[in-house]
Amino acid sequence: MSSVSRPRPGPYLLGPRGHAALLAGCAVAGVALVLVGVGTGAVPVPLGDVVATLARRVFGWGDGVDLATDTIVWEYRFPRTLLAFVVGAGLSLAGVLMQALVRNPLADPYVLGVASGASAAATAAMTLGIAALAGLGIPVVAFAGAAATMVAVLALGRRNGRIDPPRMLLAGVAVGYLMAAVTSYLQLRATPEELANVLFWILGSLAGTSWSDLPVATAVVLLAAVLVLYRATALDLLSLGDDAASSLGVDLPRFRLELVLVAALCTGVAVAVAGGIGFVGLMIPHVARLLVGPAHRRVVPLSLLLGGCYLVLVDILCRVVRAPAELPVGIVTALVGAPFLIWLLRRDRGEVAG
Amino acid sequence: MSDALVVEGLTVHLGDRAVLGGADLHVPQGAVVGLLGGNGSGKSSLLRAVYRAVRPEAGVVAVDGADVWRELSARAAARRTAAVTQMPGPLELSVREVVELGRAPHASGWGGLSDADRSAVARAVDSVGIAHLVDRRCTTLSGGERQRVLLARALVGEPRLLVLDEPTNHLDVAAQHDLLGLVRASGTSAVVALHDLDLAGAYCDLVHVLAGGRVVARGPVVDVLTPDLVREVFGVAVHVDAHPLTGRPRFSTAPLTITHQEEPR
Repeated sequence: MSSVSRPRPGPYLLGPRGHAALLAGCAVAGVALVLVGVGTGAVPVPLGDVVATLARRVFGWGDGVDLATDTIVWEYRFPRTLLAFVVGAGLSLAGVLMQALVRNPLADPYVLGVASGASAAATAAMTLGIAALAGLGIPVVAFAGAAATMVAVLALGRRNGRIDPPRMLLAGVAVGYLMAAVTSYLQLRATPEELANVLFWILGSLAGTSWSDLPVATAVVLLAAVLVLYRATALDLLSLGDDAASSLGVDLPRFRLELVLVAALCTGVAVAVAGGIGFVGLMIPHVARLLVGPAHRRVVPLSLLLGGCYLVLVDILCRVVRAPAELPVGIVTALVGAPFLIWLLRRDRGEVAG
Repeated sequence: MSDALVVEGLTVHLGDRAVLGGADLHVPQGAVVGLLGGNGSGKSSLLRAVYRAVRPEAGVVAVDGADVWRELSARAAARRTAAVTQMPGPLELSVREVVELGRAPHASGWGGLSDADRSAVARAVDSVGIAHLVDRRCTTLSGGERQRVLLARALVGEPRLLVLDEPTNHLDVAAQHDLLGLVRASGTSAVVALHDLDLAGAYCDLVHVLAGGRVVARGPVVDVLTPDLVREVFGVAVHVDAHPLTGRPRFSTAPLTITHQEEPR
């Protein structure tokens, strides 16, 4: 037999070629969805006007369109749609990391309790009416809540100075419930008007996005994506077990800390700008693994693109189904995600039995 | 030339409990050394300290003359020592992907496979007879096949020392012999934790016996595993003779309560 074997079709749904085609397809779909998303809403904007506006604003080409359309497209719809992509990508990435970290397919970005902490802080800012808190802006307050929760969970989730995944999972769930209790108490005290705002935020929404929401979230998700791609092999090694990963040169305590921090940062910025959007981080990594197998050098890029496209699509649906009113994004992701989770559980059980 | 593995004065704590208190172990170049001892005697802890999964409180672990904990990085140590560990539940990766991960300590940052990596993978899967399985998912393999995959993952890194922690657990008899035969055939220096005295007798050049966190006996199998030591350490009576088929030492064990005069039923 010749010493060097060429890559052959693997055991997954898509081989290397299918994978490349899928990535390209997702990128094209992402662009198309963003254009559709910008055109969709209470005031529909034709695709030609969308393209004309973006051409003038981004490249300085052409004369653009009338001022009202220009403002709707550039100041409201475009940042909102881009943010939907970034948040979807960031939540999916965090989901990949958490599932690898605790080696449990049912983990999602919220098991660390980070989202509950962000919600509690945001609710406090919205209901207690503390001017200083509100003056910071809800995203900043929410991120501070996420960061504080993360520090607490990290401190509680350690054994002998090192992250212990099962203990951290329990710490995350416990701190999450505590924060949820705080949020519930604050809701009881809130006026009906405040309560409506709080609920809309907690269920997740991209309404009211402005350009200022984008830079930090985009930078965090991009940096995290690069770092995680660099660590793709170490993530695969982690799936072989702690001992195997150690024996193959992974500095496990440091790597775990790295993963927790990156996942919490991604989750924190996503929740800060868009509220609690569930099921994306749980569902998208599974879809990616189903298509291209579990190797992280393939799962990570695909999850980023799929997650981004998915949330842009959901955001479009939220603006269409009850137009001119909007649905919270989290309701739609849960409507799709919960049946998916049930299907996943039944599928896993079938494999074990068979 | 220094020994493939030198362990001296190894002390390992799990939480507050000392599981090893000054254990010594030597693996000469090219030798297969068996590590024996009852459950909880510290076999796994010793091996984990060798492949850098648990940091010892005190003592030295040196592979080919280099101190694994003080002189080598995690990756540099991983290039010298490869471990066959237990798989953590179902693994969806393909056999080829798992074996390729054994090259990770040799890979550079972004981790594409070089031609050298690919030919090492081809050699490793050939040498343990799993070339026909490379495109299967690990979840679809039998226990014996899975252990071969893990052995290929260890051999593909071209290590100077193999560490195997009870690699024959849950394997059928044929697979047990196959696996240890492959370890011997690889020619790599190896330390193997085993429960089965006959397998130790058949495949190990030397054995070390752990009890109470220390190595209490070491040497060739027949010299070490005397009836007295086996009674002392394992709490069973034993009769040692030569295996009628292989000539290797054979251990017939019985509970201590049995008397030698009792007629076989």
